Amino acid sequence: MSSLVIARSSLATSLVRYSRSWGLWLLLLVALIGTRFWVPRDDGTTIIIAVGNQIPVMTSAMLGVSLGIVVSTLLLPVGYIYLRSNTTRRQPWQVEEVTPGSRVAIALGRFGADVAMLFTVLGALTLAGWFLAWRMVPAEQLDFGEVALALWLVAAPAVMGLAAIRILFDALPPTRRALGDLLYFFIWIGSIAAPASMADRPPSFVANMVDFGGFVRPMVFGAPDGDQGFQIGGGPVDPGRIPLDVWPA
Amino acid sequence: MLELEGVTRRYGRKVVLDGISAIFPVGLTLLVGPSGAGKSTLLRLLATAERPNRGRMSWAGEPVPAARKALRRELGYAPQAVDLPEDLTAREFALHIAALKGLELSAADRQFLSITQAIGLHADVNNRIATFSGGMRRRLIFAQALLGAPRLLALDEPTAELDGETARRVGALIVDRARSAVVVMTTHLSDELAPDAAAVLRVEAGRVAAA
Repeated sequence: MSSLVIARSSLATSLVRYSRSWGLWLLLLVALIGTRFWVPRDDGTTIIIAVGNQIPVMTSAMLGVSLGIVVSTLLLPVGYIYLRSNTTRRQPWQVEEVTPGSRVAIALGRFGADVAMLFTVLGALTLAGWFLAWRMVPAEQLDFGEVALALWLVAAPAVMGLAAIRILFDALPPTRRALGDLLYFFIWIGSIAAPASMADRPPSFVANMVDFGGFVRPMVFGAPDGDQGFQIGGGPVDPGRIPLDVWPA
Repeated sequence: MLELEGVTRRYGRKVVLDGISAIFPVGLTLLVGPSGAGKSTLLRLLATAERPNRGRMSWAGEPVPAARKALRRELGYAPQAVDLPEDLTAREFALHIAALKGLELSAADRQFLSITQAIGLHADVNNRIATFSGGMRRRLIFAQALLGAPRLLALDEPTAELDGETARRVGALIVDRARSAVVVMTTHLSDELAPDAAAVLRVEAGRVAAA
């Protein structure tokens, strides 16, 4: 028996199921429209990403990073709920589990489908990011490649991690239902709280590893000394913007 | 031949199967008995969906922990309730199960169409499962169990929710398969299939007796 056939079948059936779910189209719509609210603006109508209580100067790269941060922090639970509500809740476990097919091949196929689906959403987000960059970033500094690279650099590993957790929870019967949801909630909270708690620590192996999202310490690194509090979400910020781009212009 | 020896299955403190010993030869074996007697649990054990807490199970003379994969290669299992993937068509679902069973897909597709023709599901194989009635779902679960050439068929109430004519068609397929395979099924239609059965076992309070 070929594990490749099993992986391919799992991948194909999962992709078909995703493509037929209204939730995917809703996610794509949210990605296209919601982007407007995920890039920090001075008027306070958006999610705030701030260092030292100031929002960053919006370069092409910073716009991509901002979108990536929102995806890999605030929006991950939406992705988790979508993945779980589609293929986990209605999976013929009773039949699949007594087939001789390789469990690893099944898991890899489904992981591939989850990643492909989430990358499609990131693709939509990239398009919306380009549009925003065209509107927000001065023409001489506009670089669509930097928007995409920064966004995918931050968000792609996070959504792949999300897919991996989903598949892991699917592999264990106790975590297929409410226990998995509860565990994921704690993992998600931890994934936000832990890096933030290390933001103002001096560089060290532990401090760098705890920042597993990979964006808190680089963002803080670009800030002037003494201005290193990292903030995601809402709340008042000081007027003016802080330049955080460390790449040469 | 499938053999159980002193098999016990517990959930917490509740003993659902209590030291069952039975032999299931080639042919049709009916499991009858009141609801909650342990019939479905016994069937899940035979299908390797669960493991016994105590006792031995063997397939073709080999103990099942070692022969589990071999048994699964020769198994067709139709549980009573399955969370079917609503957004797939019946055919897509069957082909996915065929892939997991390691079957050649074009042959499995032809076989699926032939089985669905025999049980009156042919016209709906390309429709999404979400549109299926309870009886159609039951027939789909039955059809996927027959894919390949299973030498062990474990069928949990395959004729429930079916009208008389369709139940007879399903029954005819089961009897046909029982000529060359070990077929174990739970049923409320023991009267109709009993003449074709090699054995009728009565399950009561987790124990088995010849009916």
